[in-house]
Amino acid sequence: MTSPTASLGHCHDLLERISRYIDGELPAADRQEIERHLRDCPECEEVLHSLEHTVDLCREAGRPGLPPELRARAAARVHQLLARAAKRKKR
Amino acid sequence: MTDSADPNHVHREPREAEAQDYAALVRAVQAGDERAMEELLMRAQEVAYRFSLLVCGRPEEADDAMQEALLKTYRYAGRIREPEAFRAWLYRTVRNACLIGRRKRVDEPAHLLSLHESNGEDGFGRGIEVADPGRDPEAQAMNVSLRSRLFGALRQLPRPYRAVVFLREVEGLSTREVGKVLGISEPNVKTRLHRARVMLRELLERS
Ligand SMILES: [Zn+2]
Repeated sequence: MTSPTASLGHCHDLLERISRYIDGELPAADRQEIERHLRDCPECEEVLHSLEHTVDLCREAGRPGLPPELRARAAARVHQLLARAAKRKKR
Repeated sequence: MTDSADPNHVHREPREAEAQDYAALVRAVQAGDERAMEELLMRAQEVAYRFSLLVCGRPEEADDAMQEALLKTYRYAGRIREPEAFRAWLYRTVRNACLIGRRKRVDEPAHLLSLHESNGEDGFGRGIEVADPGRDPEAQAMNVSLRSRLFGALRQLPRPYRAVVFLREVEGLSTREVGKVLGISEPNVKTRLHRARVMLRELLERS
C-alpha cells in the first residue's frame, strides 16, 4: 500500500459514498478520508462538484409556482369549500 | 447532529423548516384557524401540481390531482393525530392519485396508451409556463432556462428515480419521509437517490 489515493478501486469506493458525503451523513473519519482523496484526485473532485451542482439546481429551480390561471382556480376552490363548510356550521 | 455540523453542508440540509411549518399549520387548523386551513389547502394543490408536472409528467391531469389533494386534505387535516406526519401523508396521497390516474389509462386503447407512455411525449414541457411573481425579471429569466434544462433531464430519468429526486431534492423531504411516501426502506431511498443523482448529472451535462 504505497499510495492509498487515486487508485481506481479507491475512486469507485469513494464515489459510492459521495452522496452521503454531500448530505453530511458520513462519520468524521470517513469524511476526512474522502477529503484527503479529493485533494489528490481531480477526477473525483470534478464529480463531486458537478453532483453538488445538480443537487443545488434541483433545489433552486425545481419548484415552479402555479401558473396564474391555475392559481386563480385553486384559490376559488378553496374559498368555495370553506364557504360551504361555514354555511353548514351555521345551520 | 454535532458530527455533521460542517459549514460546507449547511445549505444542503433538506427543508426541515418546512416540515415544521406543515406541522404548525395542521395544529392551527385543529385549533380552528381558518387562515391556516386556507394556506394548507393551497399548498396541497401546489404539491399536486408539481407532482403531476415533474413525476407523472401529465400537466393536463394536474387539475384533477389538485382537486383530489384539496378534498383529501380538507377531510384529513382536522383528524390527523401526529401533525409531524402530515407532510409525508400529503405526498403519499398525491402520489396515489397519480398512480390511480395511470391505472385508469391501462384500460385505454393500446394506441392511446403507447402515445402516453412514449418517451418525451409524456406531457413534460407542455404547460410549464413558470411565473414566480415578485421576482425580478432577470432572475426569473435565468430561472426559466435552468428549469427547462432540469425538467428536460428529469423527463429522461426512469420514474422511480424521478420520484426520489423530486421528493428529496426538489421538495426537500427527509429520507425517512421519502421512504414512507414510496413504501421503501431508508437505505433503499439513499441508494436510489445516489443513482438518480449520478444519472441526472450525466443527463444535465449532455444537455
Ligand atoms: Zn478519485
